[in-house]
Amino acid sequence: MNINRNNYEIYFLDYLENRLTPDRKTQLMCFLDQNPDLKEEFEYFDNIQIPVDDSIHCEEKSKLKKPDIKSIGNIHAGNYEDLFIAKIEGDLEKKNSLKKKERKVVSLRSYYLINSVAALFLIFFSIYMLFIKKHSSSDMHLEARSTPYIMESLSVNELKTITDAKLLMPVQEQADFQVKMEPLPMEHGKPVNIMEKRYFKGKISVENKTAFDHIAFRFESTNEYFRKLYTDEPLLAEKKTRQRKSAIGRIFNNLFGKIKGKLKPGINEIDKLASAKFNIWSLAEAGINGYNMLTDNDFTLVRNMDAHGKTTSVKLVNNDEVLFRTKP
Amino acid sequence: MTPGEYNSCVDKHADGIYRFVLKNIRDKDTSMDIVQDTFEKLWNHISNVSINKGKSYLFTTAYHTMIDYIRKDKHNFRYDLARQSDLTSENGYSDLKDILDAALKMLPDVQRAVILLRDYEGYSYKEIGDITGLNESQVKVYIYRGRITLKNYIVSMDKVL
Repeated sequence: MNINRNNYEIYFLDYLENRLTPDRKTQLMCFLDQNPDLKEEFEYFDNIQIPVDDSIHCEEKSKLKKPDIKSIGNIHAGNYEDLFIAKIEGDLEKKNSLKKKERKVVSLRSYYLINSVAALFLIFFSIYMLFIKKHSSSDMHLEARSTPYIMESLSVNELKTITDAKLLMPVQEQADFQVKMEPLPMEHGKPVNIMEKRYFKGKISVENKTAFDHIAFRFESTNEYFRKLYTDEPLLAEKKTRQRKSAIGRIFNNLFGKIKGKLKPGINEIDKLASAKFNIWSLAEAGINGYNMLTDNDFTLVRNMDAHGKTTSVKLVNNDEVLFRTKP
Repeated sequence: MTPGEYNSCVDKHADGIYRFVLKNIRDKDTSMDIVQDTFEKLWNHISNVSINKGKSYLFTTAYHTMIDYIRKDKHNFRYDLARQSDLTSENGYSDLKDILDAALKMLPDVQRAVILLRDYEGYSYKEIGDITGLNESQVKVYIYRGRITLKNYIVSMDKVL
C-alpha cells in the first residue's frame, strides 16, 4: 500500500513508534518532500502519552465479588440457601424432610418401551414354536434334513469306461475327450464318494515302461475307489439310522436350521450358511412369522445392508405396503 | 471460568475498568454502574469465558456499555458542565498531568477511548480494534488525530500560561 494523503496518519504513527521498515521510511521521506504541508505536521506531531492515574480505584470492588462455594457432601451452591433456611426453621433435625427434597425423578418410559418390545417378540416367538410343534412330524423333518445336495459329476459306470478308454488313447486325443456328467449325492457341502481329481490327471502312454508302472498304480487306485463306492450304504439309509432328537430340538432345527448350519434343499443354502448368525434380526423374523400365522397377514421385515454388513435401513412391509421404516 | 477465577478477575481488572470508564464519562456513579453491569455480564457467562479471555471480555463489554450509555443518556450536557467547571477552575493546572487530563476531555468519545486503551492498558492496535469493533487502520488514525488534538491543547495552554 502506497503512502498518500488518505493514509499518511498511519505511517506517521508507525514512524514515531519505530515500526516502519527501512524501505517504508525512505518512502515516507519521499512523500514528505513532495507534500511540504504534511511535512510540517509530521515535524509538529508528538507521540504524547497519557500517564496512568493510579489514584483512581474502584472502591466498591468487594460488591462485585461472588461467593465461591465449596461443595461438601450434598451441600453445594445450588442448595445451601435452602439448608440455611431449613436450619433456621429447625427442619434440619427432621432428616426425612431433607431426604424428600433430594429425591430424584427418573423416567421409566424407555424401560417400559424396551420391555414391551421384548415381551412382544417373546409372545410371538412362543406361539410360533407351539405351532411348529403341533404340525411338525419326524418324517417331514427327516425328509427336509436328509434331502441330499446334488452336484454334477462323473457317474461310476461312465468313469470306468472313460478310464479304460483313455488309457488306450493317444495323448493328443485324451485332451479332447468329452465325458458325461450325472447327479451325485453331497453331504456337508462336499460330494459323497467322489473320486479325487488326481485320478484324471497325467499324460499316459502304454509304450513307455516307466509310465506303464505308473499306469498300473492308477488301476489299483481306481479299483479301490469302485469297491468303496459299491459297499457304501446309500445316503438316505444312513440318515435314517441317526438318533432322533427331542421335540424341542427339532423345533429349533426347523426354526434356526440355517443358523445352525443344517442343510436344506436348494444349492443357495450353502452360500447363506457362512453369513447366517443368531442375532436380534432372526428373533424379530421369528416373531413376525408367528404374528403372520396368527393373523393371516403377510408382514415382512426388510433389512438393507451396506457393503460392510452394517444395517442401513429397516422397513416393515405388508403386501407391498410399507408400514414402518427407519429411514426414508 | 470458576467463581474463584471470576473473583480473581475482579481483583485484577476492576480498577482498570473503573478508571477507563471514569476517564471517559467523568461520572463516578455512572462509572460504577457500568463496572457492575460489566462484571454482572461476565458472571452470567462465566461458563463460556475462559480466564485468559477475561480481561478482553471485560473491556469489550465495558466499552460497549459505556458507548450505549453515552449515546442514549444526556451525558453530553453534564459533560459540558464538567468541562466548563474544569476550564474555570480557580486553582488552575498544577502540572502536565492535569493539563493532559483536561485535554483528554476535549477529545471525541472514540478517540479518547482508544487512546486510553492504548496508554492505560497497553493494548495493541489489533486488540483495541477487537474491543471497539474498529479495524487496525481506523484505530491508528483515531489515535493519531487524538494525539494531535492533545498536542494542540498543550501548546495552547503553554501560550496561556
